[in-house]
Amino acid sequence: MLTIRGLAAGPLRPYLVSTLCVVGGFAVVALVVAATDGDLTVAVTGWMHGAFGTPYATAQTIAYATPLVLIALGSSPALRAGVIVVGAEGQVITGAILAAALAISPLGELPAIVALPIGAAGGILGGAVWSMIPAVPLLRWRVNEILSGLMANYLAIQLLAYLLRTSMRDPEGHSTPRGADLPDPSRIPFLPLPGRLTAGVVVVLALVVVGIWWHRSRAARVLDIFAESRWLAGRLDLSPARAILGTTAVSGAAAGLAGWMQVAGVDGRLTPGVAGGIGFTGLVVAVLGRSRPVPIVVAGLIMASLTTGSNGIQLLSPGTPASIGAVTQGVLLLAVAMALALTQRNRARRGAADD
Amino acid sequence: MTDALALHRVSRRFGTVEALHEVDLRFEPGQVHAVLGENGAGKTTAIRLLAGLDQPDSGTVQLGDTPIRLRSRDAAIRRGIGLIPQTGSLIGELTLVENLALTQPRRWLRRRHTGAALAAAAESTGVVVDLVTPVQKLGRAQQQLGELALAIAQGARILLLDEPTSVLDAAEIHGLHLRLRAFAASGIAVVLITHRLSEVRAIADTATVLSRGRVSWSGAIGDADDVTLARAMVGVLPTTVPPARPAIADAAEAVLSLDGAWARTDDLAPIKDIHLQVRPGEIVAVIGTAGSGQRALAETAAGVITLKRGTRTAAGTVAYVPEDRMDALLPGLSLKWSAALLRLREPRFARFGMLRNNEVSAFARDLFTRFDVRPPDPDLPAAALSGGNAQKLVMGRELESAPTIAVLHAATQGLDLRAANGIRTLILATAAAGTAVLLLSADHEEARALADRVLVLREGRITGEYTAAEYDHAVHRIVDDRPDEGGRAC
Amino acid sequence: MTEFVALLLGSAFVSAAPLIMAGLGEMFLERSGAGFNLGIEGILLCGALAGVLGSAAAGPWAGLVAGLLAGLVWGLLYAVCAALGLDIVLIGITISIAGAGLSTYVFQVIAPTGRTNISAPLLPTLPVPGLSDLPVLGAPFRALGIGLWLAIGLAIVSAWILRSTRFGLRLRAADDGETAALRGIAIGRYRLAAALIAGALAGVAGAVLAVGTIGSFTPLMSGGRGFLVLAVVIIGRRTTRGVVAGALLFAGMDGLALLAQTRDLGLPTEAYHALPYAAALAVLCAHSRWQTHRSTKIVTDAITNSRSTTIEADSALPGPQANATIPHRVKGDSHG
Repeated sequence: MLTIRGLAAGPLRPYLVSTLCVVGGFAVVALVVAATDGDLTVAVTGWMHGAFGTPYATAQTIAYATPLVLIALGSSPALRAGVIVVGAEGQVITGAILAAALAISPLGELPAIVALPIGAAGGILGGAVWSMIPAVPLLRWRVNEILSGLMANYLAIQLLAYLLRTSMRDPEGHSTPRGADLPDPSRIPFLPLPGRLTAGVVVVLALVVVGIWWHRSRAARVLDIFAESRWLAGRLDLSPARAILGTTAVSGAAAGLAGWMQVAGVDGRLTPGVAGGIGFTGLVVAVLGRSRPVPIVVAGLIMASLTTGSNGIQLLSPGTPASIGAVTQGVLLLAVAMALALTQRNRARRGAADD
Repeated sequence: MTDALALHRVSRRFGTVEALHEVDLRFEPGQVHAVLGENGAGKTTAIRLLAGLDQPDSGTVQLGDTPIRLRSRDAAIRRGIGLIPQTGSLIGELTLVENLALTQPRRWLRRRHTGAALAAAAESTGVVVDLVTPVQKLGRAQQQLGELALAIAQGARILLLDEPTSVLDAAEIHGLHLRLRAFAASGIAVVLITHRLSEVRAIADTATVLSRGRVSWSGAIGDADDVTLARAMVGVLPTTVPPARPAIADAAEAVLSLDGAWARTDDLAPIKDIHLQVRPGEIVAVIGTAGSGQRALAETAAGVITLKRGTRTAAGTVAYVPEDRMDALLPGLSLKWSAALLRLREPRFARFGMLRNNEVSAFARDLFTRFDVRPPDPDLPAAALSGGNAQKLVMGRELESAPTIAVLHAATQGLDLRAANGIRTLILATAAAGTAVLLLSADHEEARALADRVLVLREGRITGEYTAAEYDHAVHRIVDDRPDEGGRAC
Repeated sequence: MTEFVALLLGSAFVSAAPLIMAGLGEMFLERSGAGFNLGIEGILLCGALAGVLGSAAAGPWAGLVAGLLAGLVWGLLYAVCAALGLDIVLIGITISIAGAGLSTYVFQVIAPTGRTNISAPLLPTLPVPGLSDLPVLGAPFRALGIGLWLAIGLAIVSAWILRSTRFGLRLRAADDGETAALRGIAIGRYRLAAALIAGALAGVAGAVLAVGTIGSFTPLMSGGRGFLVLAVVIIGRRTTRGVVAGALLFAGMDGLALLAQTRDLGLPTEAYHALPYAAALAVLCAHSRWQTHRSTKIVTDAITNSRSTTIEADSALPGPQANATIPHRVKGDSHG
């Protein structure tokens, strides 16, 4: 039935609730903009222009989205298993550190066809190892992985600061601490497109395809079961060790790979801001995308557009700073979380209870 | 002068299960009144209604023949209705004095003042208990005495005690009985919910027996003998003889055996030194009440928990149907996954690594039809199933793969007659096909109808073993389980 | 040496006040069974901005009130979302992100880069009688920030509330939801109160952070302290004394890090900056390890997948569900 009541009661209900929540979220943001004397129409136009207005802008949006999507993809197996991985920020850093260290070493001077995979492997290894800091205590002593992951993030930040000040400091000396420039064979080539898109995009696209396949696999479903009941998952031969360590290592590897892409692609050298918040934002993308590849890509693009677009907003409407993007991210997250909670409740209540 | 508390023609239903039907209960002041019944008879529901934790669907709660509405536990407390629930109602990290302060009108705790009031209440009833240690550090018997003192200090004129002796030893039970009679003598109405006839004989003046939600007997204790009461609790036993079971060869090798097994799970009722064997095609029933260690035994036999001591040998596949159906289902996922769970690794459910949802749905639909699970919708969330249908699904899923061993805990608890009969037929068929069945239950009729052998589990130990034929005569003796002289409950 | 200790104490006292206050608030929240708040970081930032704005407008005390109000709003949001059934982890992360974004945004609207920053009057200081007369060690005690006085005062009041008022006892009782319901306590009400207290205190903590010694706002100025508060409460075993001690400990490490920037203390300065987080991690592991060994469960995973150590009631009654505390994956209390 195409009446409002019919729609509200039918199978489209979850989508309706979600859309309402998202619209509500944007309404809140609009209120914030209006309350601070920003011009809403100008803000929206500025955002559209900044994010997708020119080919360069679109390419930038995609470039921003790439590490977010990568981290989100890597986090989705863990999230499906019920392991909350918040350590991406630190794992990006450690992956970048290891990749940069390998690149600066003689290995980095080898021909690109060898140097690039070495760098990637370094990123993967660095991230995966760091991800064991929350994973092993979770498995052995039930330590809350959120807190331990957050602590590990801050440790990584300090580690980076130390290395950039001492052993990995650029010998050419700059006012701010930064690492040495990576040799050319270790740099990820840029794509012949407008904007600063590296070949990393191709890698991530390939991983999206892999993700689409994996999320329909039996292994993924068994992880869902693990999240509901470890005992039942055990009857399908999935031990807690494999589930927790395996999924966390994957999330660490993905974040570390993103770190490699940052240091060997966009930046070209190790800097203190190599992670720049993409760890946290990546997790948000994973939640917004409900841990599924295609929604993750969409969510990633939206999140990235909030960053690139907000520069456009600031340009056109000086009274509205770029950080409106960050506010929108938070509000959006809340809106989606609310949508999730409301649809779960109704779903359970709606099910027929009696013979 | 206290008023009599009563339930007048009260009914209460949960989903399809009718917990109480037109029940009349009356508790006079100055007397000890026992409410007897098996698990699931409706005793706890009745107590919740009397204590203000629930409201009746029809009928009224009455105080002194006037209908009253008990909208909350707080309202009932104010009317002087004290409750000592089976699992205790004291906040562990607080002391008894602090627990009392929780429900006092005073906003600032005057420790000495409240402490004195509580001490006075305790003393007036002969209770000796530590008032200043956090409750969780006191033993269970002490906690119970503390709850009694608290209830008196709160001005209770009616005391509802739900299975108070299930975790006490003989000496503590005796002490409690003296206290309860003292309370009655002082004009308080004492209501004792129990399944133990021995206790009823010891202190009760009057009794009401509940069976399947209805009053099956009511009157003065002196007017009935044990057999009458037992039959009222258990219900009329069918006179028909159960169908002849194929004889189990004595020499057959047991596929499940526990030898000197000690274990505990998280419900504080451990099993101690269990020796048990089940042979292929045999149905062994283990009868025990709440707190006897059934769950620990079930989980040990099924291999869910590891033994503290002793050995477990199990050959082949083990199916397990736990007491709480939801533990065996996946509430967050669609029903079809709970249905196909055990067979998920089979090749037919995946192609090129990707799951074939249609195959899973087809399998689920087939399972629903075979075991009459309703509604037969594979995409429904599993949390939406009613208890009876959830049970049918779990039983069907576990047994249809013809396991070597099946451990079934409370297989027909909470089910209506038709569903229960369906499950029993299924169990018999499974055993006939060669599965070794371990049936844990509190339902004597079920044990008699299905089992080849019946074991009695009490306080973690096997205290008796009977064949099905012998067991028939032993019913009333089982119901009247006396606590172990000198042994501790847990 | 004593001069070093004096300097250390001085900077520790400054850093401790926000940690203590936010820690007390979080303590109330956790003890009421309402979960744990990952959003303290966001509330600190909003409180800091509110504090600066309030102080610039009407003096430092107005700044504190502004911070309290800002935090109160976030506390209310937490309570409402938790009551709706949202996963508290998600709520916390959202508040952190939204709070950080909102504070940065509003600041940049009011004081865009390029123009002069807002500067606000600071909170006054008071000397500690007696201790301030000591020759060298007396230095940090001569001008103890009001923030710290306030924090200690709040600690004393909190301890009294939890021990000797009916409100406090009921709040503690709300942690054991099922039993509390049997005693007729409206746990929802007390958890709401706890959330409001937690939010308000975190807001004031943020205000103290900004107008205690700094007097201006910088985006993201809290630098991860919000998450450190959670570790403070864990070390402090959710008691008032423990929170104060834990906060002083972490503040001391903070102070060490500051001093290490200007003098050689043996280890690289980054090590001292990392110290609080490493210590928190170690405490988390030790605490959970101790809990696991103490647990009454025999095996790590019994039939339920709960990671808690709560003991299920044996008699299953059909009845209303106890108010859900921590839904979703983080079932039960896996960090306390």
